Amino acid sequence: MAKNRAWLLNFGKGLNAAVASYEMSQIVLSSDLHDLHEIPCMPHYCNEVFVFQDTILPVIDIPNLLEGDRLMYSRHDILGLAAYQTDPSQPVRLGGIHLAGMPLNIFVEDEQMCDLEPDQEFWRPISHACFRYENQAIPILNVPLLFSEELALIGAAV
Amino acid sequence: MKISYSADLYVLLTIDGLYIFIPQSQIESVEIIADTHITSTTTGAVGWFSQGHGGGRDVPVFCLSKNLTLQQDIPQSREYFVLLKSKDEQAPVGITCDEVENLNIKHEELFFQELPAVMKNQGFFESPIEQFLIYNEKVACVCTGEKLTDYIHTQSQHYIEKRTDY
Repeated sequence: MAKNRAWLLNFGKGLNAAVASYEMSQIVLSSDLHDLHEIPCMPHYCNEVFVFQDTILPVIDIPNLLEGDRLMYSRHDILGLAAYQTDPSQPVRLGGIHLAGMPLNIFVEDEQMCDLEPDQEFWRPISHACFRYENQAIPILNVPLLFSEELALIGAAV
Repeated sequence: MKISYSADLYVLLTIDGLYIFIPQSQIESVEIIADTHITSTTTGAVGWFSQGHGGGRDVPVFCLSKNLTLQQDIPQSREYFVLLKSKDEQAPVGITCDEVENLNIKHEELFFQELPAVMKNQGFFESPIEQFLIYNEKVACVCTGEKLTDYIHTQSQHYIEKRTDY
């Protein structure tokens, strides 16, 4: 029975998803969020950047991506730094994701895998799997897709 | 006499706290706002600047907010405007700003960072921003004069279309 570690992420508004343990490298709390900058003329779900060790990282807002428009600025004070590779030959990059609470480290077993619920179809374009946890179907995010240029096609479609 | 510009020379515009870097070679001139003939226009411009005397052309001057949207009210903080050099058939434009500064990227030890992939493909108004850099603990936007001019012309066209709809 394979057990894998994952991070359970809370985005607020009842939205929860997960990433593999190695895909979330760091959490940044409010005291360090002065390095968050708004950028004009950018997609509504990614119009902020975070300066981390002199590198400018894009920051994704999941609720605004799924809502299809910018409804509100995230007022939460937690930023998750996700690690991803677009290709095994490419370097690992970091990107920020607004969170509404501290991620929870959990174990996921193969037997927990399931399909999205009918009312969760909006997750399908940005997730590549799903598992059941405490009576909820939790999508597993496709992190490289979240930080790709192709996300614009999904952002326009939702 | 041909003037050559160092690729390291940039002009920094400040607009409501937003930093925009433009290669100096793509700036025609820096002028004071008092030299603009402020008037309402149908194009979204806030006024006109007459280049030269007699046969000189009138260049529209636009006022952008820190969100890079056209605005018709000129904030008191706008003291200058820059004229962007026109290319081929492109009509030149002026942009108001609070401050203007010449900087040598190399001397200031500033480094360009590419736009993250997820920030490309911005939708209807293609962004004029091509790169970032960190300056004075802020993230500054780097634009070419050509893309910025294209962007303003697109914004102006949209402004005209909206007025026509009403």
